[in-house]
Amino acid sequence: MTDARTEQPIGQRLRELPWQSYRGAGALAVVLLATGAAAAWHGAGLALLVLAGAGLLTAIGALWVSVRAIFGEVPMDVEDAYALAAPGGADDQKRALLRALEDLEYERRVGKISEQDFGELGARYRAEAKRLLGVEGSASGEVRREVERVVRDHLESLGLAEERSSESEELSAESEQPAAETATADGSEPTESPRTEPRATAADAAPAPDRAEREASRSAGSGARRKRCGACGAKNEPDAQFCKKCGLRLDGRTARDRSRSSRKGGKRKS
Amino acid sequence: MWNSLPELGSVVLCAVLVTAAFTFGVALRAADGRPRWLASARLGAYGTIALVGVAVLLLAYAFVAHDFRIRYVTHYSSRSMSTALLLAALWGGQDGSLLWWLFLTCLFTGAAIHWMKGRYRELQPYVIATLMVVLVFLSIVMLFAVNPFATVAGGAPADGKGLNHQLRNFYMIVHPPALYLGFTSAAVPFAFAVAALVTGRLGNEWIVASRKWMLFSWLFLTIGNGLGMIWAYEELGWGGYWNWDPVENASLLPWLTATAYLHSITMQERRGMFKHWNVLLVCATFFLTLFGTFITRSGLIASVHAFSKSSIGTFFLVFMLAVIVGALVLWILALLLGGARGLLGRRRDRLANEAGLESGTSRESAFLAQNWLQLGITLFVTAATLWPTLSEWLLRRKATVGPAFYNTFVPPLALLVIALMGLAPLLGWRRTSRELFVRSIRAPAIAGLAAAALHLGLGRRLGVPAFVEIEPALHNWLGTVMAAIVGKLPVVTVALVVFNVTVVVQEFARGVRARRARQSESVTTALVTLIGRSRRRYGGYLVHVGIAVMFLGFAGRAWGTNTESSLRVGQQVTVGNYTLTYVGMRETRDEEKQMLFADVDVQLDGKSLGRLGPAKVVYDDNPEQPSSEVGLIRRWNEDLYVIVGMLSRRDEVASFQIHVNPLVSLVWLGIILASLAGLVAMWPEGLLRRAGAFGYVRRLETQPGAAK
Repeated sequence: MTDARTEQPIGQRLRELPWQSYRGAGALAVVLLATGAAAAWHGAGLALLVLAGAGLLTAIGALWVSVRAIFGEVPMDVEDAYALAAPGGADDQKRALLRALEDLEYERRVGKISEQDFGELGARYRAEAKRLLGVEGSASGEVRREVERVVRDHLESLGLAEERSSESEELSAESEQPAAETATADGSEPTESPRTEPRATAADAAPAPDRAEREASRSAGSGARRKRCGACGAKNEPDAQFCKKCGLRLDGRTARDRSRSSRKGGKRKS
Repeated sequence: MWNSLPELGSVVLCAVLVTAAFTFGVALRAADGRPRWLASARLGAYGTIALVGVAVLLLAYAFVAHDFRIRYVTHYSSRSMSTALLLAALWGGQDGSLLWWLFLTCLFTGAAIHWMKGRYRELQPYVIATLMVVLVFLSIVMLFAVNPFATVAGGAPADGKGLNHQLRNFYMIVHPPALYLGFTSAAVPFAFAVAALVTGRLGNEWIVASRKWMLFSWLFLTIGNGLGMIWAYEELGWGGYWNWDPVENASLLPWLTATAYLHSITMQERRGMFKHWNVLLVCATFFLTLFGTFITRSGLIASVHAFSKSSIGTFFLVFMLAVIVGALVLWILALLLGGARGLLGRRRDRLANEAGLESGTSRESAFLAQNWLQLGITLFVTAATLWPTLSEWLLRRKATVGPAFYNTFVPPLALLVIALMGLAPLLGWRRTSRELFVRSIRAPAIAGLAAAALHLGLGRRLGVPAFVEIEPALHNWLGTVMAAIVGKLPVVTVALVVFNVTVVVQEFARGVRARRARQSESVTTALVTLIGRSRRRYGGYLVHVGIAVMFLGFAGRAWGTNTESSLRVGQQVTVGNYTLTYVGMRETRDEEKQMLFADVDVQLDGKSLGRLGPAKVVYDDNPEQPSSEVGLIRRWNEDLYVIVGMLSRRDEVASFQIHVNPLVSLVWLGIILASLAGLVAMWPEGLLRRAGAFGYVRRLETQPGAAK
């Protein structure tokens, strides 16, 4: 994915980011130093004028760039480019759904909600979570591949390529685990760190809302039986693919196994 | 630059108007899915914000440099004021406080735009456009009605008039900014609601986006109201902390709707219900912040701490009407076409709830009842506040309602809310079986009833009777009935407070038990982890405790004693267990005021508590309006509050108002608890707010060890 005007790869732009933030922090430091010096030299009045001058320059600069941006004379910010592909707000909503699931588990555990209501409401939340993941995955697959490439490049430049590559692949395998299934019971936190942040790949087709809802109503309404994990014995939701306690696939394979086999498959193809 | 400072300030305000209007247009254009225009709108907003910052800094400079060519500086500062007070004078008067309002709105606009970067791409253009409309409105008001850079006719005086003396108080320096923070931040959730209505994206997206902003607004409204209560208690000499003054009511109203919203969004998040209601509550909260400003600054309602009458009332009235009509039109379009963009052929699903109430014994029902009650209190207080004006229009005579009227009708409604506040956490979603409900409510109900029984048995002996006599506020059957009900409220309050606190303790105990059943943790670890991992739920419960404690403090009013007495030197008066002896008059003066003290020695049950010096203060620049300095002894269970009314030098007679105010400290404690708990509920959830591939990459860039 590239910026439409400059044809500059995102990876290159990403590497510029720390410098951009240093530049901003540097400018702020200069203004603060100048303000402090003005205050020490001539009191609060001059310090206020220095700040006002800096504010005026900032305003003129921001408005100038704003006008230039309309005419495409300013390269697109990488976050904007990313936002083009990934529908914003999905992370927040996903997190809110995980919280809802967690709350629901808690309420079942302390006896505030019946099993039937727990099943119906939980299925609704999971269906919504899957829908969100699907939407996000289908839209951000392209960007994700680009970002993974940038990560690899960066790790190679640090001489950590081999070690991290395997982690990165592990990450991609783990990320296929639906968010809803990472939610755990009664107050234990659903995993939210970036390593395990569930994110569907482009290969995961986005389930349409109605399809997800149909699945939800099927699993809840029919009183479908919960899946028991063969390894740890934990009970999982009827539509779960991974055990929420030990993380094993409910067909018996671990995420790592699956990742390895798919890698081998990939190599054979190449 | 400083030779033409007033002109420069006005030019900057003009520039704010132009750039905000430009940004509004660009943001609307960006709504067609043009990322470059969106980037331009964001930069335009930042530029506008920087310009407003420049205007504030220029006015601050004018104060510090004593530029008395500027009318506002002349009216609200003098050469004798310290730099800190000069900076506080920025919001001491009408013109500057509106500029401060604009500045705070800009800060929240900037924060919201920065936070939205890379997310909510569909909503973002409309959020920016709505916030720019607010900035345009405030710029217009300042340029055409209350320009803080307007100059004095006839040249600059040698010195200014100085800041109003009642405002030279620590709480008054921090109270308005806190309240303004609450008021101005309500614009952000409103902008999200408008964006959701226009785009038809009325699902959980905008709710999730706006929740923390509203929580922030709620938190600062709580702090601002609390600081205002302390200021009124210490400075105004009302004898209490809340007098149902129109300005106090104006700041209470958005707090009520914000509280209702923070509860009702849970319904939408969990059950897909209350979608219309949530839109209404957000719009109402924003509207009420404007309404509060309108009644405070238009001169419509008389108040002890209203601003002087000005022409901004018309501007605010027009904008408030525009907000109501605009929100109504957008809501109708959302109902009919799935959003205003339906007019352009981009229809979405129409605004509809996904579920309905299934049982009366469900959390949804409790939340709905609580919402209705809070809205009822809001409407009641609004109508009562406006009654002097409404009665003039409707009855052709000006009628006013005093604190007794409010204290007759609001407490019963508020206690119903408190009852539901305790009940709701015990109920489950959709329906609660009788067995589960009985099991949940057993301990809190027993605790509440036991507290009521103890209160009935021991209350009178301890000086806090369960029932009190209340003078009817209305001289008809309704007044008599209400007085009888309100007279029984002390015991009801005590029972409900204990009930609520027990509910929260039980909820924490259940949570800790559930964690410990699954993980081998100590009780402390389980408790801390429980709160840390579910801040919203447990922060909310702690807010409930704060509110309950505050209500116990409010109940103290029923057991207070108020006496008026005129004493000659050496004479005594006994109020409750206190004996006050008038020692004599004392006079001091400094360069700006004369203070007349009426010293009294205070004894409690024969033991000396020291000498109090309530005073009358006469400022040289305003001798017609002397103010009171309160004499106050604070104790953990009650305050002794003495105000001197009339002082006669000739025969050395002083008249005193003496109040014994029980449990006032609990009101302050409740406010502190609720504010801290609000902070817990809104605390960010972790280092990586933006998880995802990009966040991962950036974190790797900045923290190489993060991936380990």
